[in-house]
Amino acid sequence: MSTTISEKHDETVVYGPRKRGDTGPSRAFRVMASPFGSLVPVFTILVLWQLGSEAGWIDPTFFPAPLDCLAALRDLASEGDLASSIWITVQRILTGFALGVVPAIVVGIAMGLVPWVKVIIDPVIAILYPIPAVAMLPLLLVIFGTGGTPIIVLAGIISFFPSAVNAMAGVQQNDQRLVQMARNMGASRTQILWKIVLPGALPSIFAGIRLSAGLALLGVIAGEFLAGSDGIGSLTWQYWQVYQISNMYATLAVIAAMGFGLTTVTLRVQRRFFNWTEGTTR
Amino acid sequence: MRVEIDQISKSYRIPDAEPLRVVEGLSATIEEGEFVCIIGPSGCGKSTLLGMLGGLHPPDSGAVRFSGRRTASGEMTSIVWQDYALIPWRSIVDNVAIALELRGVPKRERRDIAMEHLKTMGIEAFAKSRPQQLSGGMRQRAGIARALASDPEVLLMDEPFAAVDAQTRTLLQEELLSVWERHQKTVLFITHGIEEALLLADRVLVLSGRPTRVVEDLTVPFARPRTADVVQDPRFAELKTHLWERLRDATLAAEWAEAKEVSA
Ligand SMILES: Nc1ncnc2c1ncn2[C@@H]1O[C@H](COP(=O)(O)OP(=O)(O)OP(=O)(O)O)[C@@H](O)[C@H]1O
Ligand SMILES: [Mg+2]
Repeated sequence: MSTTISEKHDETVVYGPRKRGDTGPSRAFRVMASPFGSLVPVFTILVLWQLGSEAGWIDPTFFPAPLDCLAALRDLASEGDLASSIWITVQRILTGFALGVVPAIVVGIAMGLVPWVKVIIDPVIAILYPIPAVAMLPLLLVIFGTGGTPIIVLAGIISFFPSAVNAMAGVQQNDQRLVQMARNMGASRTQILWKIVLPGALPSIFAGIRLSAGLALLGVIAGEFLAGSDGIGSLTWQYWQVYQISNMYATLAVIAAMGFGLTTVTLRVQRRFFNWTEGTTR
Repeated sequence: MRVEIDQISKSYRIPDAEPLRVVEGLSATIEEGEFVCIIGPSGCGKSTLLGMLGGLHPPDSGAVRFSGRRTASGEMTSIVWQDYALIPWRSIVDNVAIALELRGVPKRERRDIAMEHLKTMGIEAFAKSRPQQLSGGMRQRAGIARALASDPEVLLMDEPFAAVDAQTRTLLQEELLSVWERHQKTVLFITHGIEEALLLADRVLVLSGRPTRVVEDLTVPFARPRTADVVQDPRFAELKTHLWERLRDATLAAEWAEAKEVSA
């Protein structure tokens, strides 16, 4: 008994400074978390894939070696088809995106500001939003015929909803304290709108724009798969149909790069202009 | 400016319930250049009263009259908020300049004026910072600078120092007193702190529970300029006890009334 007690007394716990090395993320971690570092895992997979193909463990009929795909990409690029396809697709994405997002922001802000507009439009959105927009493609083909227009409209429709909903939420969730402060300072309703409510809604509006941008890409590629005669999506689809798998992978890589570019650019803009949100919006 | 609060009443409509009568027939007069503190039980309607004085919402009946020679160029009142109400996407200097901006003062000029007020509050080094980069004490200094920059006749302060730590509060109280002694504005200052009220005020009004009215109007006898040393004055303890008793009565009565409402 007594020995146990004395043993307990001998015990000393020291809370001292941290040891060197365990203060925050390590250097290696920071490198990996950087935009450059994020390419490392992707690159590793590609290398393993290449080695696997060369060793004969991976069936090149379905998974052609990355270097072969790269060669295919180079050939496509030199034929000149690729650049024009990319350009067509990019134009469609931007047009559809603008067509969807600009009215979406106007409608969303109006819904947030004017209860009447919300009461009327909210049910319409509630019905349309859950419908997979791709399901509307046959209808759009009937209305707009073949060619680029139905694809652009599809992208517009898909990208409308997140921007509208986010713009509305951004306006509705404005900080009432700031509105009261401005009123006490003598602000008019217009001044409150332009100096408090709309700037306060910008982070949410931009979060919507980011979602819409991704969806515009999705809409155009899906439209081109199903109904396009040109554009990078249609090219991918054609290579699948004629079973030129390396070429298909090459164009897929182009689409992936487009998506990556879109995400990176919009993220940069967000970090640059909306850094005051203290991590409230992603 | 002399502020005359004449029989004002205010109730809030609550869906599917009796309206909440918050202020009823409340009258009080604040003389020009006077520093008046208001204490009262939680939820009795202090902020509601302040909002009526600050033009945020009109009283249901009664009137607030501002009279006297108008000396300042700005709005009649500016509010200093407990949670600062600084605009997060603006720098401190642009926050402080907002009243001038709303009045259409050109950018250079309003920034110069705002900088003057930042200097008064000793925070000119943070002019370009965003509010969220500053401590609570620094933010409230910016809140006071903003109120001063709008050049009001009356400063309305709603528990402005409740959210900062005790040491910072003492500093802010002294800074506010020295600013007030220089600017000679009429000040209405809501607080939960009896000691704070006795340190700052010429007069302390004690409010009752809802519907609230003035149950005590106490003149604070300490000479100015004051420092934190007034607590050593023997009358300080006496007045503190007196105010505490009145506040306790009001709070207990308010709690009883609420309990009766709930059980009814
Ligand atoms: N817009 C509103 N609608 C309905 N009830 C409200 C509204 N604003 C305040 N109240 C209620 O009115 C009462 C008085 O509120 P007020 O904020 O004026 O009290 P207060 O004395 O400032 O309280 P505190 O000590 O918490 O600051 C409270 O019971 C509050 O819940
Ligand atoms: Mg309050």
